[in-house]
Amino acid sequence: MVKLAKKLGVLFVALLVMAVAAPVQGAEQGSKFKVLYGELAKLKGNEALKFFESLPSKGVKGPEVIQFFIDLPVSSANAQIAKLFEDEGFGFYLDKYPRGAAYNNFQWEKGMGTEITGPFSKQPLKLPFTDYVPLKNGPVGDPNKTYRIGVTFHGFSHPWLINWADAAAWEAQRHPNVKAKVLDAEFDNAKMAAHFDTFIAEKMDGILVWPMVEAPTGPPAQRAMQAGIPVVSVDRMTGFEDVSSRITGNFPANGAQCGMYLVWKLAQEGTLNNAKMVMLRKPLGSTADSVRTGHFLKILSYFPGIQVLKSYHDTDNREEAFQNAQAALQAFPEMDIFYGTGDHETLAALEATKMANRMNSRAGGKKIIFVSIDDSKEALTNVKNGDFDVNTPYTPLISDIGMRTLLNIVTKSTQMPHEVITPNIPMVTQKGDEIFGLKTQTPDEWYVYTFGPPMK
Amino acid sequence: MNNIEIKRSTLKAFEHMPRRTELTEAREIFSNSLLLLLFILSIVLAIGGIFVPNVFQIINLANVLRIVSIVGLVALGETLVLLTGEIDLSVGSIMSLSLVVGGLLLDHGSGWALAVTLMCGLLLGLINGVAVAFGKVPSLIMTLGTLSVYGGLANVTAVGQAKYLYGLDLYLWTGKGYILGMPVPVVIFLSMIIICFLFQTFSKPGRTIYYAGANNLAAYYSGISVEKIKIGVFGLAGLFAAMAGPMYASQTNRVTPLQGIGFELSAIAIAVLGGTSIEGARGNVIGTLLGALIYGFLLNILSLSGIGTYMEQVLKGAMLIIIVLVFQNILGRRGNP
Repeated sequence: MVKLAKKLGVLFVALLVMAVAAPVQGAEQGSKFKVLYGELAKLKGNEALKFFESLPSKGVKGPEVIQFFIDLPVSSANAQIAKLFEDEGFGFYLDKYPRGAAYNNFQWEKGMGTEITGPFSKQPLKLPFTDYVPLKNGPVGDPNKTYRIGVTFHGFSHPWLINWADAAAWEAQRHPNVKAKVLDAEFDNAKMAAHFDTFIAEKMDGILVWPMVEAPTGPPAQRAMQAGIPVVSVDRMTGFEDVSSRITGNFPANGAQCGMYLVWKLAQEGTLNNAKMVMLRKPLGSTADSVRTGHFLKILSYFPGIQVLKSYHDTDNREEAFQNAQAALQAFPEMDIFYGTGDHETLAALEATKMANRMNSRAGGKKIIFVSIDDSKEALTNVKNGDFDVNTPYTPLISDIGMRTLLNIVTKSTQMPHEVITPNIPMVTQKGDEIFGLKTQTPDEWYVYTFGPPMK
Repeated sequence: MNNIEIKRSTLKAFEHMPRRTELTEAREIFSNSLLLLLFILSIVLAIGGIFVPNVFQIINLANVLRIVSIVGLVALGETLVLLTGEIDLSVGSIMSLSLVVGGLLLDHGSGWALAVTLMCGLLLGLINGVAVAFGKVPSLIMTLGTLSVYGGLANVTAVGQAKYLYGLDLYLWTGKGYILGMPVPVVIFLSMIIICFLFQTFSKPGRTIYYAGANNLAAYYSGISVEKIKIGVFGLAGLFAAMAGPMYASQTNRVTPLQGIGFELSAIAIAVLGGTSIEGARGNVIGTLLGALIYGFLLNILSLSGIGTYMEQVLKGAMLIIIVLVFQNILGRRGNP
């Protein structure tokens, strides 16, 4: 009894320390960044660049670097970008999107994860975060009960999304008393609402959702919660904030790292004071577009020499992005950078640029800079062959985290936080670089975790 | 009556005749719909030239003509169907399914993939034709159904996966290549236009398409096999949609089950813009060619003008309505074919 009491006491103290240490650590980090932001506030252009380059000497290294740039305040140094930031309300989206430390301060390391065959796509995949919010194989909760989980998402026809569904289904299949019903709303918000209502009528134990846009998914999610059915969203968010839990993606890290890379690259070239950029973006109002672009522009706002020529939007459709890119190449004979908020956009820009023979059309014969997000095999292959300059991964293979979170909630086995933050993934560059203290990955290091069909 | 009295009575008769106004003269000049389309096209190009000079750059012209040819090919098939008084809403889905089925053979080379794509499109079109002609299913319903069936089958066949075209030079050439300095899609589209024009104008089967569209019963009693005509035009619509597919897919180096989405609306819009009546028996393929050019340049000018993606959508639809409204009112209710 005494030994047991001692063990429980030690455990209690350890838990207490962890509970206090995590926010203290976060608070320490926050206050360290606050001091740095104060120093940075009045800097612009080359001065800001030097500040970023000095971050390692100021004690900001490794994964902290990404967080520094995510939390960076916007500057008024670049008036055009500052106005764009305000006009499109990026601040609102950035403030709303959850940020912070990973659950239980999980740190992802290269090599982690589990190799599977996608139940829907039949592709070989490696899920990077199977050790995050861990759940053992076998029955969950009450082994005599069957837990019915409704999964609604868009796009068996979309390579990113079918892999999203693969990860969720794989996790469900690990537990024999879990039955997942996976429905495709086919990019129709009304269908997704109908799926929610169907799950409510069928009295599902839980609902896992990938919402394409926020507003129309709010009321259905609210109805489900009011019916007593826990709802967990993964990646994008529903319009109803009080869902049981939200697994948030890497949007802030995507945008921030794109900004970091671009500033670093232009500085290397000596063109930071005169660079022109076209942005090819996803649907206006989508979380992916707003949060990525907002974080991207925040970093560029410190550099008055960067000009945004135009933003184009598409409906997550590569053919539309292709036509937008062609129009941009026609409209702007002098252009340095294509930024795409998704791999579709940048891949389309690459094709359009090649067809127009404009790959090396910058002053001095320099190649147009392609900044891409979303780590499809196709995109990473283009980084490897030097066509893309950078790719910031956004893996769809996070829905297994969502499924485990939902199962914990449904079985009431573990208290889950409202926000489960996906660990930041370092960007990928051709040769692996060190950018403001952050070591990037090479394409070979990340390729095994990528989504989409294999390249031949 | 003496001569002076004849002249007076004649003058009096003329006084009661309606006066020729400028509007009447304009209607006569533009009663030829092709002339009207050429006039509209020249207005569009003139506006583009003034406000967006980049529109006439060689690369831009090549890009526009390429995409015009791809959409125009689908519209060509739609025109033939509309002339018979029917409609085909499934051309987009035919394109998707043909692409995906042909895509299954990409590992065996471009030739096989392209051949199977075309055969698939023809077959899917013929299925529509047989159901409409012999099954007496209204074409609106039949092709609304096959829009969904073919589109769904494309997704099922592809299992959500794209197939890449890297290294498939012949396949990529259909969309990105050149023949005698002209983009391949343009050459193919113009060739099909010429063939269809000659067929419609100078061959008896070609002219019977109009008779079938004007009055099915009268055509039947005249000894024309209306069923064969309908099967034929639906088959051609499927074939042309399948022809356009690889050209479109090669722009972005991949085949996906979603690439045909929306083509049916563009095809119908272009056919109607080109003077083809939805009621049948009025229109011709030259009108479709001009309609495709107007549509393509309009979109290009809006895109280059810098007005923003979403405002482009608004203006695209509005301009289409205005052009067709003006077109229909100048020609009158029963204009010339």
